[in-house]
Amino acid sequence: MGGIGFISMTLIIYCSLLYDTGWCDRVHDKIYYDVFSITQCFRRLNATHQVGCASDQGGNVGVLHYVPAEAELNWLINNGPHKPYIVLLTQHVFNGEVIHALRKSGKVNGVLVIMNTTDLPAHFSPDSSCPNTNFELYKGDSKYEHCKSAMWNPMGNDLLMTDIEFPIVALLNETQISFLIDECYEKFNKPVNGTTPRSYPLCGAEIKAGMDAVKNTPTCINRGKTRNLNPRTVVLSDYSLSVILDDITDSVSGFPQFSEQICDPLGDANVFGFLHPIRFQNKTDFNDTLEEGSIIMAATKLDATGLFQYIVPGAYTTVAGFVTLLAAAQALGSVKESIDPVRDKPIMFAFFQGESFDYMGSIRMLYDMEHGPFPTEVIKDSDGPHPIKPGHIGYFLEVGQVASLSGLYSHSDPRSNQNDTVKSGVNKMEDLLEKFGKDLNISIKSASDDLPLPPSSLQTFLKKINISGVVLTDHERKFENQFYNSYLDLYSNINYTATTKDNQTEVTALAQHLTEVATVVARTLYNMSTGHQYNGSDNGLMADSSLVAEMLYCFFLSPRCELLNFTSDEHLAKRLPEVPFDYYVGVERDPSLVTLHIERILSYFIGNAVNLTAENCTTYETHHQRNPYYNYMWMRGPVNASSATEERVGLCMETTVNKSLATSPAFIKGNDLSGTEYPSWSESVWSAGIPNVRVFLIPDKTYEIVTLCVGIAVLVVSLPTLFLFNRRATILFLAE
Amino acid sequence: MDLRRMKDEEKLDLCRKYYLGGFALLPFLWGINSIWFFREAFYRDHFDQQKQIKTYVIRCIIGTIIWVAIITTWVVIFQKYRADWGMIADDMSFIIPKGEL
Repeated sequence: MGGIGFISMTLIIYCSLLYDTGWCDRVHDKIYYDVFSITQCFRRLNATHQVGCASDQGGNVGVLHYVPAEAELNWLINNGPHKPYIVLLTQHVFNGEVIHALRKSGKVNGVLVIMNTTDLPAHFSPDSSCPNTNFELYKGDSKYEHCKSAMWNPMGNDLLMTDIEFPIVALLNETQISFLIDECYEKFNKPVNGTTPRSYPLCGAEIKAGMDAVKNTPTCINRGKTRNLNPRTVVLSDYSLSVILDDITDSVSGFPQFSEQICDPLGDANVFGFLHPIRFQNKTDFNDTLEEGSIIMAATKLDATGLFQYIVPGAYTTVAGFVTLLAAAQALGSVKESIDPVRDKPIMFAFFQGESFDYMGSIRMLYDMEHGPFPTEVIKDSDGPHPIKPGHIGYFLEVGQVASLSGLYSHSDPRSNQNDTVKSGVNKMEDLLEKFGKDLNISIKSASDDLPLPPSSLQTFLKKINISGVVLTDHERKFENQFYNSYLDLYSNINYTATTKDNQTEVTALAQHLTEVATVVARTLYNMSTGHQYNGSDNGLMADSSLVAEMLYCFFLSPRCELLNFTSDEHLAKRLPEVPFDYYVGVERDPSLVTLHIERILSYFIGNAVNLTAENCTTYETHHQRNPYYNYMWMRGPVNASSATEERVGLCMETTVNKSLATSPAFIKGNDLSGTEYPSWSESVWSAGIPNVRVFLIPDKTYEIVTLCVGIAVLVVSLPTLFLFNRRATILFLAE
Repeated sequence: MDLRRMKDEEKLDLCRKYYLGGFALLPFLWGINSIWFFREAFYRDHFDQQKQIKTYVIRCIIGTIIWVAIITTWVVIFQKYRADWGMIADDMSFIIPKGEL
């Protein structure tokens, strides 16, 4: 017995050694060519639908067919005899109509797209032509709903909102792409003379990108909760970064932490901050002392989305906008001493996350304001910031897509404008924008009266409160952006020329333009707040163009830039990614780095530097005793000029900036997920973990059948043979 | 338990217990009983308790057939309509296939 144990042990060890040395891999390598550099379209769910892509759980296999031009699709759809196919498309062929034609043909089992950042198609926007229409302000309005009067995103092909039956995968590596085309397609599959199909063996491809969740969010949340016999996987993410995570898990305590989730709610955090903390005027009874309609909110969105995981550059869709608002915040922050914290109207900056998914960030902030406490809990008998209710907001200035160098438009809501108070506030803001624009030679016209609001966070607020709101964009009736929420929403589309690491502050044309827009925004906000212009310097209030350039460098090209190194603490600095940020909001258990950095940059811009050591700065108790109106944030600060190394001196910022959850209120325990009141977007768990693509030769069917038959025959013959051998063993082996 | 070593009256007692136990919505007891005592009921040479054992076994067989019919029908209906029933069916399931309705 011991002998057998020993032998099997040796065999196991031997086998694992073989595996490590690659011997076992060889058969795999002989059969398959793995395509590693990929990113795929995945499945998301809302209250009623599943959208996006998925393969079967076991993967989708098909004969590879390369379609370099749309004309060659016809052969595949009408004549191609070897269905199912995996279709390899160039970016120019990859569009909504083609995908729908492929779906209709029933011959296609998957799509591979050759991604290329230099040779772009004229347009590609996978979002709807009427983005976020499910949670628009104009629901039920026969004149404006569903973009009846203005189709904002005419380039939108709606792929993001379509349930595609097969996986779509983008290929990133040129070597692997040319292997697919040259070694696989050209050698084995390309029809002879372009028409006659080739015979077996054919080159096939397999895509594995299975998604666990189906149908809709309520279904998958319920399935995740069901205490069933499925093997449980422990869902754990990187908790170390997540200051906000504790709150998140509280808010969704309806979901058991260690059950098997098959979808995760989308969500992250909004960032907001005030120029001055809003205090109670009367500290004895803590009555509401904030005037109704006094707060001026300056807002923008922080996120974009796209078809493919990890590739959400969002340059035009979102980055240009939030950089502009940050620059305006910096300009106002630098003159905030001239704004009176009591007499002048308070200015609040808000950066909403997850707005691409039915405005969930702004919906959550409004929900938090309504249900309180916002921004933080009021502790009776102790000092603290004044709570903010939706009614306290009076004015709303939103920065939308502003990257186009031509003129801007200020949009307002034609329905709210029927109210005279609202109308006069809107007029005031629009006049100021136009006037300050003129000073800087930017034309800012108010958009035509018959136009509703473009997709914007303002719509969320107008659903609940009557406020004077203006959305500043570079388009009037339709987006100038040809790549709204696309994987191709690249900085190169908006005339940004890449600067270098040594030249981060070089002011490009785009940086100059955004600086001017930021200046206009800052001056408008200043004037709305104080009622007069800033007169502290000769040039008036100005945004800093080199800072804008630096931010563009950070958010377009490389997060390892000076500004983010400056504002990060040690921990965050180590985690600055090498590649550009991805602006997809992501699932709530995975905090977005973008949010954390925006919070820090905003804190740096509008906070006060205080003289505190790193330890005192970061210790919660000490700062709460010190001043309940502020958070304290430790930054690495500037490089020590006298030091030869990259040592930084450190900086403690006292700031009103904070985060609040941007996860939809639908996921709060007790609210319903049916999507009538709040959006309920979630992302499916990916079945196999990392999706993969591999190619291999598919032999002739008869060859396959012959192989199988021979195998069975050998088995059938071997059984009686063995039986006979056993019977006559005495002839073969000497009997004892 | 080895039937060969049991006395006939013990066999009858056992057979009755299984038969009665089956009424507690335990169809497997009937199924086992019908197989276990089949030989005793139909093939063995006559003995005193055989008639009663035979009655029990026949009833158990009938019961088993009815149960199999019920369960089969339910399984077919459930599998066919599980996706349509949505969340109710999910809540009834022990194992939900991933990535499928």
